[in-house]
Amino acid sequence: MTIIVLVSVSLGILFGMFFSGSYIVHNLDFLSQVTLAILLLSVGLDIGSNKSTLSNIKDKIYSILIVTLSVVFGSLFGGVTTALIFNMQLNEGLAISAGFGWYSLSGVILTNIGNAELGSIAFLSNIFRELITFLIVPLVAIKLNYLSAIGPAGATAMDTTLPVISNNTDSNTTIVAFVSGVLLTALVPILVPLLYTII
Amino acid sequence: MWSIAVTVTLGIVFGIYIKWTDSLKKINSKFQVLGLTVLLFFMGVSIGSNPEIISNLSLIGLKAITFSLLTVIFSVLTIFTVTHMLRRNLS
Repeated sequence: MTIIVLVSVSLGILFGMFFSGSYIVHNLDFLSQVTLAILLLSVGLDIGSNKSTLSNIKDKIYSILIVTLSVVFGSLFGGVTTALIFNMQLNEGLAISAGFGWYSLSGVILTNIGNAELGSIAFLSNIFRELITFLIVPLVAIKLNYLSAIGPAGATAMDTTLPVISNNTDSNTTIVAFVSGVLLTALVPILVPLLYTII
Repeated sequence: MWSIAVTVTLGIVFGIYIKWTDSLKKINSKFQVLGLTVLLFFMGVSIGSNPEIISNLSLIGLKAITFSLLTVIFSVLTIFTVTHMLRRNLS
């Protein structure tokens, strides 16, 4: 799986660099949205195939809250630590880490209310977060536990990285991941500007 | 964003009514890997086709990587610590 991830992304980067005028590049948003939709239909089928999982979603509320709050706390703590390492303002570090992997939105928000460099760091760090997620979810699922494997994903647990979580854990964990991803996604547009301006 | 919630929900509803066999589940799982591969390729294309990102990669890449590594590590450690402490209540 790790090899597939690295090869696909590398080929994609090379393709994007050398064929920037191609059909794929011009229609990239559309193409990835369609692929994502098909992929998520397949993930939904996976969840639905296990009826017993759906019946006890109430028992999962604690897991969902624990995962969501832990990701918020862990990400912001990581953001503050990075800001201290690079001698950046604390509000910048907090705002970048509150992207929770949703690079397009956090990048755009911080470019607008902050500056271009801040926006770029937010964009890149959240892209990297998504890439790292693809690579380490299988490892965390085996070495620690299934719920911990949701941690890297953050907001992306509801879409792009949900397949890798569902492939490496069980359907219980997949549902917790999806709901926590929805909650974290909803928090991004609130927390990023809030942390940047208030603190 | 809403299209995402709609597709997953549709899949779940279909998934409940489909008569699943082991081979059908295997096909669905293989399909996920295929879709993921294509999506990752597109992600790469979006990075590669944007010269600003490629040049920024060398300028601010170190900060960005540190942010992503530390947010991931602390997110995982927090979940692991909390679930480890509460493992009796969760199971």
